[in-house]
Amino acid sequence: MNPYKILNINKHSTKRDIIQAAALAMRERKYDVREVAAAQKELIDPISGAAHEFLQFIDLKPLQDQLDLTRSETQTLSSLEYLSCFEKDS
Amino acid sequence: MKKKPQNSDSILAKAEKFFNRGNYPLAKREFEKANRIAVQDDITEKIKICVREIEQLKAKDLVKKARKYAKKSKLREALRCFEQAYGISGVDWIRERIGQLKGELSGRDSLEAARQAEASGEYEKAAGLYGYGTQKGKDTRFKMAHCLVRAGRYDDAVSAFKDLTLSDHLAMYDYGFALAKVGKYHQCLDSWGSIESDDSAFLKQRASVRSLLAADLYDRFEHSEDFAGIYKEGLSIVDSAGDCGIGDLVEYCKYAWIDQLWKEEQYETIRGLLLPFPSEMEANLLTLYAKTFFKLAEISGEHLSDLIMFWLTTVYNPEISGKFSARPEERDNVRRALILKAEDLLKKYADVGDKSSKTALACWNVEKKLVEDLHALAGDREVLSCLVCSPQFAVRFGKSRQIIQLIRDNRSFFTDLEHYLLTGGYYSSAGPSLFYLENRQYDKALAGLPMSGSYDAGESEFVDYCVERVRFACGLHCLEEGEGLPGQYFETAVNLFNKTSKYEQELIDKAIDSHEPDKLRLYEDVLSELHSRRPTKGINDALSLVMSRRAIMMYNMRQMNPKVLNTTIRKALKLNPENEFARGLLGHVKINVEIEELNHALDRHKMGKACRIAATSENEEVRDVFFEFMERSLKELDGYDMDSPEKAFFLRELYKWCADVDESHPILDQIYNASQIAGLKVR
Repeated sequence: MNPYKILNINKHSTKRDIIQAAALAMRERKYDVREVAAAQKELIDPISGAAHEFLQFIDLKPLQDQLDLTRSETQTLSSLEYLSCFEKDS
Repeated sequence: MKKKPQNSDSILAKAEKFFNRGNYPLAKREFEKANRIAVQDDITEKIKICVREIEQLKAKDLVKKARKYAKKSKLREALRCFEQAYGISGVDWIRERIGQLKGELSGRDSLEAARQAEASGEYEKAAGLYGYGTQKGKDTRFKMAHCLVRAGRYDDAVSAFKDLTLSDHLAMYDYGFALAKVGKYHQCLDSWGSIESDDSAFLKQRASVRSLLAADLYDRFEHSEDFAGIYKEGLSIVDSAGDCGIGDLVEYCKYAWIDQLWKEEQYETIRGLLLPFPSEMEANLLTLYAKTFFKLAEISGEHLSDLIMFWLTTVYNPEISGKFSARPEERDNVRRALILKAEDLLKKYADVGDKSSKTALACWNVEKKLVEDLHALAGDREVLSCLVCSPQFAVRFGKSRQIIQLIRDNRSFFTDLEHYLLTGGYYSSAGPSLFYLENRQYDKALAGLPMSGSYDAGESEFVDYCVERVRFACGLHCLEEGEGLPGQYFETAVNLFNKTSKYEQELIDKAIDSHEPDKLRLYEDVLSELHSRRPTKGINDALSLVMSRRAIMMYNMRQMNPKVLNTTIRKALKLNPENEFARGLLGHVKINVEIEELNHALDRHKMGKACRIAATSENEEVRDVFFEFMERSLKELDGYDMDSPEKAFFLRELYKWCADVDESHPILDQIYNASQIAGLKVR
């Protein structure tokens, strides 16, 4: 179960956001009432909420920040000249 | 001799004869002769037919000639013949053939012209000439494409090459060059990838195209979100030619693509991007692997072992768990919640799944305990906490040696020697065998043990322990199944018992619980062997019990005689004089032995011996058997018609034997009375 998906909220949602999202989800009836209630309960509890936040989201920025995206000097297309070294092969 | 003049009828007859045979030239000549004598309409008509047929024959000859010329590639001569034939016959197919020949002649001309243009460097013109006509051969199409490249018409060249199968280096180079010139660097490198050449200019040019592709990828990265495309194209360069200045860009795009895939819940694709595992695993990457395998495990039970390997290591990683919560106690609770989530998943599969799911759960339980222990051992020491990981993870990412050292350095942490050796054993090179053992896969456990000398000296105490444990478990399994040669597995058992006596007790308990003669024999052999090397009270008493139990079972099945039974029971009692079972047996055995010996003596009329056994026995039962025999004999004597002296002799003998055993036994009076009635004297 992904409670964030059921309630259609992001990981920065407050307790108030969670409750409001649960009410909305119950009106929309996209998910079963029990599922919505369970999702709300899971996210409001600080321990299971933290566990779900860990499970449902990935943060790859720290990995990306370690990478060097500086471009190196490149040649221009016009510098490409036809080579005749293969003509003698054929 | 002067020729005889012919009349009109004979000429006509001759003409008809030729006509009917299809010899139209001669028929025509005869018909004309006849017509000169007397003009007739039907003759004139036949002359016309002959003329027509003669023309057709001429046309046929011309076609034959034309074909011969065409076969010899003399197209102009062939064309001339076909044209003449067509002039005569006017047949459609000849007209079409004339058209083809003219086309071929013109193509031949243009091909020649194209060659000349190419040779003189007029590539544009050559390309046009090579492209002349509709029926171009493969070779001509390659030449045309080549000339297009040389003429700088790269888009046209790319189109021309598109449908051709490139087999020679020139075509591959030409196509790649045209692709590069139209900005399709990746496809260019693909085409050039098949060229095996050490030509320095070519290698330099290929590097230039890579550099152009790198620049192109950077441009696309800056102006689009096609991370998948950039990653795939970039990876092909990095894989074939190394970093090329785009290694980090490719890696960046991989993560950006993974981020997109995560939102789309495409976890299987993410797994593909994360394999093969890197040699080192830093915290952020570790989290990604753990979460991906958790998500995959939610979908199917295929990757449970990977989940186990990463999950426990991740949730105990201080850098990762530090982000669970700012409060340490809450952090532990989140960790527990996450462990429980994975455990619930594993249990779900084990409850309904196959053997591999159950195996995974068994491994999880072992690894969970091990990682908990390592976590407790490392405590708050930051340097050590990075070593907290599952055995599988340690093997995969080269941490086993450090963990072994950590365990050795902290022996006092462990509750006892067994705890210490078991923990080290799981992280040693014999660890996989312990996991097999956990799942009762005995053959694999044995096969997985490292060869002597193939492991570090630092882990030898743990490996030795694993070898002893595995061999002991295999031996015990053989005993329980009553098969194989369990003895071979107990050679190292004494070492194991010396380390921890619980395995000795396990063997003893199983031996005592055994009640089948065949299994008891195996247990007796093993216990006997172990007793000779480790005569503990436990082994001693178990051997005594198993020995006596098996003996009585054999005796009851008539597979052991009373004497051997007696000897065995005495042997068992010698081992353990307090063996109540054997002691109880011994009394019964003694009576049985005496009764058997008594019966044996009576059967053979060895009355002296029988009397001695009955007289000296401590058991009344033995004497009862003796006197019952005597009473039967006395009764039988009544029925016999014997002469008085003979009967008197027997009665006297009976009296004597019975008196020798018991002078006060009532049978003596019966014998006396019997002799009185018979008028005999026995006393």
